[in-house]
Amino acid sequence: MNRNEVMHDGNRPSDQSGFITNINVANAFSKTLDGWPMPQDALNELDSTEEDYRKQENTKWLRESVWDEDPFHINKDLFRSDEFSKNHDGKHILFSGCSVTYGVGLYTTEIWPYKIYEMIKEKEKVSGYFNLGKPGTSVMDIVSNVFKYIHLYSKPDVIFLDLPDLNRHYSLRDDRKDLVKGSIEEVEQKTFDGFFHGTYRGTPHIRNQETRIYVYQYLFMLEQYCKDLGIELYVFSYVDGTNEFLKKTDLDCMKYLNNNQIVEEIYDYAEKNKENIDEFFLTARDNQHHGWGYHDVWSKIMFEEYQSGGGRYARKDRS
Amino acid sequence: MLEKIDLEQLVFVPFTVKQDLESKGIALSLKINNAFNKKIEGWPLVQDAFNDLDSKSVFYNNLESSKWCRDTSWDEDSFKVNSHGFRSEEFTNTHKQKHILFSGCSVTYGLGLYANETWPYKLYENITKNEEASGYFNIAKPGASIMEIVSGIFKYMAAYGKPDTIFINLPDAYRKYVVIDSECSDNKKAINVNKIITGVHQVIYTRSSTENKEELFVYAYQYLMMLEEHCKSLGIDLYIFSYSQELNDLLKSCDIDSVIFIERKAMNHTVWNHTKGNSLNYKLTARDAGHFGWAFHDVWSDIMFNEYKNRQEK
Repeated sequence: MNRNEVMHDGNRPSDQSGFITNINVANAFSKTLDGWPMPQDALNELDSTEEDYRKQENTKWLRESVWDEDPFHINKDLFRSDEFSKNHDGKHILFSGCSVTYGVGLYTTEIWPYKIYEMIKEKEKVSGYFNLGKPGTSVMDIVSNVFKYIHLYSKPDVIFLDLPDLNRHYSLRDDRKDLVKGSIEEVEQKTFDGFFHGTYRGTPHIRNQETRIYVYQYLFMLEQYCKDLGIELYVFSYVDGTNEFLKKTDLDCMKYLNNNQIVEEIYDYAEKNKENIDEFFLTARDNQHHGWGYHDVWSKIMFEEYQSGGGRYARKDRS
Repeated sequence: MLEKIDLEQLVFVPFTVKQDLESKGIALSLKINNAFNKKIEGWPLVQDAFNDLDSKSVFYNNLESSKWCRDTSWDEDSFKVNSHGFRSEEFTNTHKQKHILFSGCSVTYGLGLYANETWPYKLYENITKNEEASGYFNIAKPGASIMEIVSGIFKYMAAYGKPDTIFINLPDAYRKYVVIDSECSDNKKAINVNKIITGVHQVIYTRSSTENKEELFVYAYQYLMMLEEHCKSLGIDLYIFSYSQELNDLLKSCDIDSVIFIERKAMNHTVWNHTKGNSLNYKLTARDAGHFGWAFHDVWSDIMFNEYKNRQEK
């Protein structure tokens, strides 16, 4: 992999404002899964001597962390998950989301999907820990990857999603002046190869706003699919703006978190339990993402939601 | 249900709104009322006139784009628009026989043609010669994008149950949702979430526009992929084709299994043979002088009926 080619972070699309990150989408037009090749790929390659990697500022935290305690390497599809399988002996549970669900800056054992998985595993037989979380990803990428996963590895019994902000969408890398040169076939191929997935700042931009209809429709279609196939779907978001927007729609699968209250609780807990927490309780090792304290709270809330069937699902073994 | 509508509010004809839509390459724009809920939303123009041919509305009677409609005799047409604004039988939750659903854009809606001249109706008639069907259900809508067509099918299924068979005729990929609101026009002001909810429109771009249209390809692919997966999982027989050669070329590079590729060149040749010596009107171009004539619909319905028969035999 050529890191510089994968991360298009020098030349943002010319008509985009507030661009933060952009990553090439390798499998935009096929039913194959497209994992996250950086920077957590380093978990499989901590001793890399590659110069680009050793100097990269945004992976410094990663190189300086001790990963011996982490139980998970990245699987061969580049997800921080057990290897995917078509055969499932036990309840098939799927998790997905963005970097928060992938667990950038945290050990796998510290993140919400793994914690929920452990809690369910105490009471039920499960077929493995399957996590499609991918940094920088949008709601559209999260949902379409769930469909691709189902196409490849069969339908799960339960799906948990943690949604990011709504300022993320696919875009064509339009700084490439060569894009429209050549034969029709060549231009088409360059178009196919030129798709990036961008994360943008929350500043107003009409294209960011327009993606909201895709956000709703992707979630609605997944919800309908899950209803028709008997899949339990539990969705939440760590972003107030996402919750505020989705509250105005008619989705049934959302568990709306009171994020202000969660922050208050976490700080209060941190104040009272200084001896039980470490420096990554509030902020993860990358100094950007939520610390494991948040993941604790989210996992407890969503496990409770799962136990009650979200008020929507009846399960035989549910008391 | 279809409510009384204000035509002027609904469609920007011509583009006199504050935003300069033409300069953005937008050829047509229609407001979407149910963008963020599960209600299906029909086409209130121009064909609503089928239910209201004697309308005294000044706006309607002066509307250039519906002149053909006012000038046409609709006595021969077998279908009025249903209570949801679709050119279809009334939708129902009860389906005792085969449940067949058709969708697409204005071509499948049948702009400029009688219902019995359109490909879905002809195909329906062919199928029901040998099997019983629960009714003629067509949720096509003029101007609809691939995303609007696919999400409309999901909405239909949520409301009326899963069909046994779905046929779709796709338009070009240059159609998308946009937010049109005077407060949203300059990208600088903070946009209230309510403005997003109420400001969604469905637009068609001109081919020469460069307004991010290629970015729509990924949405077009993903919507079709998700629909195909849904249909496979539920045992729904899905048939997709397109009258757009450009879209065919795009989809050939993808892995959507349900697409039947109808090459435009071969299609034109077949239509030409089909109409040789036929003096009936509207065989090549419909009454609105903008859409395909009935001969194209004849050929599409024949091709899709053969596909249907072949799959049934397998």
